Amino acid sequence: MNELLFEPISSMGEQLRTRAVSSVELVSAALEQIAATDNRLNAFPVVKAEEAFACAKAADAELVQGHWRGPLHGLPVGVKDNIAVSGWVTTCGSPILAEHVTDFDAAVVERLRSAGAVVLGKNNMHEWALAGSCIQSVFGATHNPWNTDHITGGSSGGSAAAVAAGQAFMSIGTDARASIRNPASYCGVVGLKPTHGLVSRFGELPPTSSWYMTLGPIARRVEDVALTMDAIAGYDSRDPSSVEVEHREYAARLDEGVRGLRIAVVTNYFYSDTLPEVAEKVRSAADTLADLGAEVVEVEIGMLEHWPLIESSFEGENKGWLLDLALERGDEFLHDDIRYRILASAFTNTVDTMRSTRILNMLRHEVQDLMRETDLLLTPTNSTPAYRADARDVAVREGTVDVEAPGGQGRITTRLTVPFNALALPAVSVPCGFSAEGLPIGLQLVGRAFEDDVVLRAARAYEQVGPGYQRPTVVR
Amino acid sequence: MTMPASDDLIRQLIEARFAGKLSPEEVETLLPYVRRGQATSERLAAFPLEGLDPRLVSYISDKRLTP
Repeated sequence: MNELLFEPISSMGEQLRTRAVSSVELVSAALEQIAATDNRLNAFPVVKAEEAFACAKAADAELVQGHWRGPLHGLPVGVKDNIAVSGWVTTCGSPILAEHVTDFDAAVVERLRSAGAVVLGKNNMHEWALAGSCIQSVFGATHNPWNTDHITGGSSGGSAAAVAAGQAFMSIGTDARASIRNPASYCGVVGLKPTHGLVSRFGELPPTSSWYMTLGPIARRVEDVALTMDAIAGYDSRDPSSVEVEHREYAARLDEGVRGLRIAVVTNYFYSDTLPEVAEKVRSAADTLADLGAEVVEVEIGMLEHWPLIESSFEGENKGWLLDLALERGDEFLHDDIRYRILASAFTNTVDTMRSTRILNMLRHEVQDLMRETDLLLTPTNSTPAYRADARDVAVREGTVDVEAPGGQGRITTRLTVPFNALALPAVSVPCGFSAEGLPIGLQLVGRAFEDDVVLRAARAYEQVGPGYQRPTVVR
Repeated sequence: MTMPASDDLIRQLIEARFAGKLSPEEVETLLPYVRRGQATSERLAAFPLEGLDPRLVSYISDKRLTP
């Protein structure tokens, strides 16, 4: 195992710039790491070694000529398998798209390549990005690098597992409900769901118009995420939801600390299912942020209690375009729950959507009012650590949840994160400790729209004194 | 407040919507999903939206904005 694979991006970027190490060496090391670990993880089912070496050689040639594109120049990275790469298969984790080769690069891939990154291949994901376990995929289940009997979370489970195991320095995931933050939390790494509109969705599949869906980075450290945001954020006219905002530098202000920031611990909604060991780590993280100089207060967001009532009304838009496939090619769905949720979405009615939108607007106003004087919200990312892949009943604070029943898995894997998709706010998951079983626990920090830099700044301050990234069991 | 839909009614809804494209077993599997949605719909109908400040719910169908 090559230790360079676990270095921070800033450090490796500098070593590449000064030619202390070459991109070809790093790509070789990453491919060896994938070969050595992926039989246990199944995080990187599509690896394009030949193309990666060609890109690495080109990156090295530029460095020889003194052309350095930035901290990602020459670094091996991954992208989730619902992000288009020209000439590569893009399956969305579904057998229906097993032979689906895209003929263009997604905007985020263009930006990564422009920043000099070497895209190694595709990371595994849950079928259609519509569930949070990463068990059902055309490539088979992805396994948690902390305990391969447990789920990675998802749907970007392959991205989180790959990064945790040193197979890549960063991987781009997508998040419509939890899909970046949930696996980041379960695998002990950092995942940012950026503000909606900040990172182009052009080339992300399925091509929904839902404001829930966002692309963002998963990496081992907050700084790695910030450096990636510097490369991928920005307006793109090809994405109708892209927003032209004043340019912010995400890595430049990372070390400004939390002094002067007001951080609100949300005391309702997020703890009804949350296990005491998770709540304790999150509370401890809040105390740490207070010790670092933040003003930490406790708040309740009353309208959040109505979230379970309204969330299903917005599911139809996400799934509507899959309805014909669910009807006509139902036997090609791996996860029955996904197929039947898609079919059930056909019964969503306009009156329900209108009423749900009104309630959501009330929630928006409540959160906007709160965040006029509050910089960040602090919550757990998940109620529980990653559960066993063969579990049916998962223990929560009081009783158990049947993850095979309609809505069961979502209650465990997405309930604490999806409101911030609906609110289009930036949210990061950062490691805040371990369960008694030795599984990672994540802390969620949520900021004001387009203040992703503030979210990352607080996450970085906490990471530097908190547990941070630690090597999972499979790479010790 | 709407009346809760019976399972028979939900079956009829599914048959009407998907017109023979699902097997009887598939209809039975789908039934609890649709029942769950119907239950949510009933709770939404009961949610006290009337009388709220229209600036907070932001829809022109509010009687105080459009008589």
